[in-house]
Amino acid sequence: MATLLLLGMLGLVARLFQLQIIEHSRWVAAAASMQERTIELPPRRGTIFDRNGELLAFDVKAAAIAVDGINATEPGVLAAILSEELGMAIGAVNEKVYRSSYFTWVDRCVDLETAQRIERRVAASGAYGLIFIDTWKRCYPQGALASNVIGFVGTDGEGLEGLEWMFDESLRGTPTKLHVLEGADGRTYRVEVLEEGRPGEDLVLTIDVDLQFLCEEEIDHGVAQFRAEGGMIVVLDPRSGDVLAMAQDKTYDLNRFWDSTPEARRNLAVTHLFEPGSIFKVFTGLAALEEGVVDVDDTFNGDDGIVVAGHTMHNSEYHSYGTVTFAEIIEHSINTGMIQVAQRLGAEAFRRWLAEFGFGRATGIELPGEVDGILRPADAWSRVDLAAASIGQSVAVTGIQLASAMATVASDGSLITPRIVKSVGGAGGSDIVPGPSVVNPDTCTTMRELMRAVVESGTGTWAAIDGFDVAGKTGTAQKAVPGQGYVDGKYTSLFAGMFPMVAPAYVILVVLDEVKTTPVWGGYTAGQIFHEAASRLIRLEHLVPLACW
Amino acid sequence: MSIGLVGSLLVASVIAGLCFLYVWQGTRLHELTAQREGARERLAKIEGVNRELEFQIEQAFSLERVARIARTQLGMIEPTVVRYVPLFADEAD
Repeated sequence: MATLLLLGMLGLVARLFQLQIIEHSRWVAAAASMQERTIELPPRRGTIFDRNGELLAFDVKAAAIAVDGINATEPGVLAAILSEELGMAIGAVNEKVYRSSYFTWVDRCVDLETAQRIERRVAASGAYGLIFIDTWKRCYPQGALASNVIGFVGTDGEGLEGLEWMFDESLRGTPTKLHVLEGADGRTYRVEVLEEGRPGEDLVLTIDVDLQFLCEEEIDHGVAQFRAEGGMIVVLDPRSGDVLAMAQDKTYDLNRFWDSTPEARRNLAVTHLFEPGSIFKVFTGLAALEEGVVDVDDTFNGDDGIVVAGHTMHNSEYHSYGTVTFAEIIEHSINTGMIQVAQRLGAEAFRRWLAEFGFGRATGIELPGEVDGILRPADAWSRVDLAAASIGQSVAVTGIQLASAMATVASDGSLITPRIVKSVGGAGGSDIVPGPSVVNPDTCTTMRELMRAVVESGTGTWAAIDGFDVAGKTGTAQKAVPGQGYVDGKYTSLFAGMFPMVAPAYVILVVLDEVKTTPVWGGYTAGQIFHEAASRLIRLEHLVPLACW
Repeated sequence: MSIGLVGSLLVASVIAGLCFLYVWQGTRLHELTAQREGARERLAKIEGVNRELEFQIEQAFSLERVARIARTQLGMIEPTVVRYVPLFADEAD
């Protein structure tokens, strides 16, 4: 009996020795393969805020659902639950569930509530085979607001448009790698951080969401009212270069970006080129004043029709004004007068000044797709080109270029670089570097006085706002169609204004493309939109009119 | 029983007791770790739900929705006429 007991114990010890000593590494590896795994936790993407801390884009927890087609039990039950909860056609779900694969994606981004409901239903049914992976879902609570600026994120969490694309590296963050020990009951017993990740950096924009909203409403109204092909509004703070609003009529819901068209996704303010028309007289005038070739009281022949190299160039509606001062040329937007100013200035000097104002090159704003504009070298200019450029034809600009150049007038001659991102990850912020001074402050003050006359009694009276000094300039440019040249009836209608005139805090540019109602004049069409947008801005910011000082 | 046998049994019992204590502690530690990780998981889920609710709140207060409700349900319109009335403080004050 004792011998049998001893033999049994010896056998037990031998077996233990075999399992725990001889086959130790094999069983440790087997246990590790079942109990241990390395997982990567996707990082939370950085949040995008407006200048006042309003949420524009942020991540919420979501789940990616896959199916293990080989080990799945009750595939019919799984398919029914998935089809009902995810709104997918049963055929499409069956194709995934019955696929002979250990891992097939069903949906890469399911909201948490739905994913938890699916998990509960599958557990209750006793079926097995779904794999739930924690992930993040990008959400845009303001829907289509500032969609052309913000952009969106694709299924794999990478930015595909707008600022989401431009700042993808900062926003993305790095994943955390974890080593996890799980028991047979599925519970986690130990978590070890192998590599510490970091969430994405937050972006704070210069955009004011309230101002953006009202500008989007006003440009929508304006495009509908004047039956235009499209339109945009850019609002700048000339003291800092901050873009407070960048609105256009074509937008899309960022939460449903897959329904958008390329046209809607395009940011017009940085990609759409147009001839600025008479708005450009501001810069011709500035250049002429700075070069000293004209004075405000100098007189010119304002009659219609000026012949330049055999071509006759006309005033608007072929109007003749008689003898006019330089001030009246700006006030009434007299083409023939301004052409004579440009002829005094000369192509070389004029082209140089236009480059100083930032035309012909990108502004450097932190948005993708910005184009340079068209400003040909002076030696390529004919006498007709000089005349045309002086009244804003034969040159092409973007909305942000034109608004920035106007901001130069508003900021007493400092060339500002527009910016749309205030800070990244808490860095940046209030460091405003004043731009180089390109125009004498007194010249800018003079020009603003002339532009005030435009709004008070000139071509821009529709933009006037009771109680506020507004300086502005209108523009109605003929539009060239590729292959056809300038086409009758196609115009770009513009108005750029700034207020308060003494030390402007806002520069607002309104551009309408191909207005179908009459008249098409920028003062009448874009000027009215300016009036509405600026009036709402005044109420929003509780600005005090001059009469109350 | 001899004193030696009793002593041996006592020592063996103490050693066995210590071994069981060690195993019990290890098991308890694993149990508590699992509970902690479970609590962390629940916290992460609740935080996830919280973020989802945050989004729903932000969406509910989105400017487009507020403006739509103001216009369609409350009949509000943008003010068309704004009048500024200067108020001057009484000199006696």
